Amino acid sequence: MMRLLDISFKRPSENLAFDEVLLDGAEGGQVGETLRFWESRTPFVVLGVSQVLRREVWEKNCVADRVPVFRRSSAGGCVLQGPGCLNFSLVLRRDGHPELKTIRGSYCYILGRISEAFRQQGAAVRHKGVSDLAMGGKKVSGNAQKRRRKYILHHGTLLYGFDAQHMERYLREPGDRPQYRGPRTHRGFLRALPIQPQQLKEVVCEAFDVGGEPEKPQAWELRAARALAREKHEALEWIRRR
Amino acid sequence: MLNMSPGHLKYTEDHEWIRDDGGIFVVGITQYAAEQLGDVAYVELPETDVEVEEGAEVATVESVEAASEVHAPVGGIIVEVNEALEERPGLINESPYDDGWLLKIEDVDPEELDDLLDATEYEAFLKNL
Repeated sequence: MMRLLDISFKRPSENLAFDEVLLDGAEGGQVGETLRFWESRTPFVVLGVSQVLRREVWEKNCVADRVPVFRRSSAGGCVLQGPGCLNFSLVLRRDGHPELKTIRGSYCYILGRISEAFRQQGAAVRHKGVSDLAMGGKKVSGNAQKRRRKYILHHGTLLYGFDAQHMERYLREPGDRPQYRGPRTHRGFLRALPIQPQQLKEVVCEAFDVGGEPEKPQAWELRAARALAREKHEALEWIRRR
Repeated sequence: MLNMSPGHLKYTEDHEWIRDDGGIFVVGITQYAAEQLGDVAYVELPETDVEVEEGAEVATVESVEAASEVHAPVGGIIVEVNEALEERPGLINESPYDDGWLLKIEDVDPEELDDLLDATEYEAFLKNL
């Protein structure tokens, strides 16, 4: 039975660290599969693990507007987090379903389930490219993974309200672009889902048969996330590794 | 284009390969793993002179699609890492069994090699994925 958490931290670094703690805890046998939702009340930029900062971020604008830049441990592209961007994080056993054993297979499986759940609610959402969900040919969700021996962390955004102007002010046009994007800029490529966050959560829960009320995280998870946020996600050596 | 897993290597179910270079064991990831990841963008390699156990996470290979951990096929001491990957992480895609090696381990217990798959067994494992 998958655990449901709905927990957002004030500090961006703790939001990022907590996802890692969920994966570490599962890999270490302390917890099982988990679905988590979170949303930041303040804007911040998040790089994918191997992205080169100066190629992805308009750093001067971020500094001028006091929008901090962080780096997550999973792959994928650069994201502007903040209000209007709901995040879901799944920690899944690799042997829980045959398609989870491969990277492409796992994206198809996870995003296939979510898009089917959206369609059952009347929203024409489709899995596009490797790691996107799209509606009407425009991206509504980006996704990324970190894979360990027994478990994978798959997390994604669900845009229900975003500010294209701020996105273009902080995020450069990406070098890695899915074919369906074509030459479109952020403003022309992204769109908001016409669905409120509570219903978005219900759709994702439905996709993975997760029911009931969200649980409270364990005390050690909160401690571990605070420590990891401080030691890694707030460290310039990590943020500026590339 | 490489289609078959080289016969002189041994393999793990996590898609690592290992080669005995006269007592120094060279480790990398298989063509299958490299293809799964897509274009490798960065490799986080371990420190040298570090002792590791079999199965320990020793490196992370990162692409746009996933960040994937690499595990030590055997225990021992990491004596060298492939510094060429710093500038050319794509060597893992271009030459996964040769120039794209990741690290070297010595002081290996030979019995741990017996637990690994040979090329035929690895190919059979891949067919069942």
